[in-house]
Amino acid sequence: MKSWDELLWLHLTGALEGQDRAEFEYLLDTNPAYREELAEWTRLEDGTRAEVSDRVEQLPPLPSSFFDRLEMIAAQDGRKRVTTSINGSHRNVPYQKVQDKMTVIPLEKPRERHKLNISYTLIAAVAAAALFGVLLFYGREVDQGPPPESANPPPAGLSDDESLLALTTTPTPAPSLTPSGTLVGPTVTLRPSVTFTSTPFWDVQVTATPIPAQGGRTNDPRASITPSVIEPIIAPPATLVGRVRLPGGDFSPQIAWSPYGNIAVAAYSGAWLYNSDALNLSVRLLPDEGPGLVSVAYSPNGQRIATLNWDQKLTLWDVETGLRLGQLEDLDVWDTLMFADNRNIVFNRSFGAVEIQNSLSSTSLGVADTEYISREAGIATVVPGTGRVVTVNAAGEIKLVTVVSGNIASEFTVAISGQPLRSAVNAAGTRFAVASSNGVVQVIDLETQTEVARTTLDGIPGALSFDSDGALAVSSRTATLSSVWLWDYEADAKNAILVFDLPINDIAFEPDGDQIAVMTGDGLLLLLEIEQ
Amino acid sequence: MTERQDPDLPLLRAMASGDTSACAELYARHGRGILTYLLGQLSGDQKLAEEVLQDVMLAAWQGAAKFRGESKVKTWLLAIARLKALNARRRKRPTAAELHENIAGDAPTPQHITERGATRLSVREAIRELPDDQRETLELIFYHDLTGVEAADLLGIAVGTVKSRLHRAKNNLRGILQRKEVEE
Repeated sequence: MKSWDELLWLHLTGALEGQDRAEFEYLLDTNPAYREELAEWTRLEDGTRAEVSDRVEQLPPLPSSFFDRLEMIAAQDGRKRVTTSINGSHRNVPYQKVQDKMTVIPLEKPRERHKLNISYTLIAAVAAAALFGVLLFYGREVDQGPPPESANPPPAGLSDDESLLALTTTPTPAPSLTPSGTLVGPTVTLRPSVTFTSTPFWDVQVTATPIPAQGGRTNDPRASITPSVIEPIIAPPATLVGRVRLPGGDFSPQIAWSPYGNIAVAAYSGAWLYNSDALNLSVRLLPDEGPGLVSVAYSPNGQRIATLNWDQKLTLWDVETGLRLGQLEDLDVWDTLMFADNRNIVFNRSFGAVEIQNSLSSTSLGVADTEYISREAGIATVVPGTGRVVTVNAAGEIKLVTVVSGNIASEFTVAISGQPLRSAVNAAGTRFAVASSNGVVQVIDLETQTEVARTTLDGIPGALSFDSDGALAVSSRTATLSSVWLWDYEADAKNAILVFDLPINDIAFEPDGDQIAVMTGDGLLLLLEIEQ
Repeated sequence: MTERQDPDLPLLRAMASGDTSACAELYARHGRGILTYLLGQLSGDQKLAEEVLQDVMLAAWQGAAKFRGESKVKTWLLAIARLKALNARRRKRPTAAELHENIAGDAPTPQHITERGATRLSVREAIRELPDDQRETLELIFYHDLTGVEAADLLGIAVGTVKSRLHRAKNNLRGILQRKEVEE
């Protein structure tokens, strides 16, 4: 026998039938509280219908130009024209080939850039006010009822309220982040989920016992997420313009921008697509696939998405319709997935090779032995049109692989400071950045094949991303805190723009360079705008 | 999904073979519903919603041959509409209050509700006061008649989350109406 709540759910979703309906009606007849609850739902349902149905007075007719476009598309993909004769029989007539005249229907219109023409002083003032406001808010958040439904579930032994950030500051003003990455300001009292011993950044008092370990869910990587103690601290020239937590306590190892300003997030529950309009709308691909994604990539034209599962399954998606176009299974892929161009996908294979495949035909174009030693040594594509992939191995050998053949077009050696962990290429395809395990980040000019800049970070580098003007964002992690740095390597200026207690899983500059997306280790997607 | 389960499937198959009249028929069946949904997603921008609606139908025409019947056609059209709305929304900087809401979650605080107060709220007006995600879930279940599973798939959330959003919507609605009664 089903409970009242179960029967009510079936009723609300139009799935109440047979015996369940009889049971539902019996409960209604015998319990006034149920009748009252149903009346409340009915009021909500009727109100929703009334509210929604008034939005459209009349469905506009489709213009003839719409049908012209249908025919153009059909001609392009080889469909037959179907016409119906008087007696109802059908005949197929090939569409006239009009491909030469055809214009590509754009998936999305390139966004307009919004440049702020505000002085640096004003920006700094606004940022300081925002920081102050955010910290004030955190102080209030504990008293403001339930956490968002998308927040991580509280660990065993702690209530919802206790799992919330409890950050109080005495006295004001709030702490601030200096360009050198040091937090200055008042003492901050944290109710922690992790134990801080001493850090160069925070004066921390531990005022609660550590959160107990979560057991029994080790198969689900989401169970290993440690709740954060602090909220991300953001400093100029960065300002927070969007923030969203992945639903269901999810996490993401990697994010990617589309050419048109959407952000794809590879997550355990699938690929989430967010628009960069303050991250206020999302779409999920892969609703019934598992287990989780490790990588996601947009094609350069933004019309395809490739996703890579933990179980080595590569799926190609049509962004236009959300449909799966193809799937490759049992791939020997590490963790990086990229489109070399609109057609071909590049990925790391084990034993130090880069493989390039045609994404639609599933044919391998070639495998280049780049002699990786590090599992995580990254590959990076040069800008579309150059047709090359750049790789680096632990011996400092930088190899440029030709996409169409998989052959190594050229190679040279630069002294890499340590074990390469991550790499990136700038938009022009001229500069290659390598971050090593000892904290050293080097920028190498691919044309002159020489090192042009280097810096040393406090901690182990995480992710790298060039902006459109050539500056480099890089994340690093010490034993207790993570930072995101903005490094203008030509001016040798380095600013800490974000500090957080959990790892920074990925960072990515948008293609036109004034926003950067940051994915934290607990599934928080932040969108920061960088004042150039 | 079979033709018996989804009467729109034959239309989609006809579209896949090049029948433009099938596309017109699909538009007649679902255009209003999709346009309604888009207006909700696009802040009531009629012109933009109508443009996007045409894009949705074009995408359906393009993707008809690849549709595998993993969902109802109507649900698929709504999913395309959601994708299109994602792209159509232009970058708009959030206000501090919007960021605050994003961080705090979707339950409006008493202060929040009071500040928004109109002199008299009908149920419909109260529904407009609900957070976007709750309102959208209500709309999908009660207006578009999706099942819990279909709504969950479309929104990319668990069925349990659909349920909890509905319950929160109901409780929030009750709170809004009661509070306004007290104020009056």
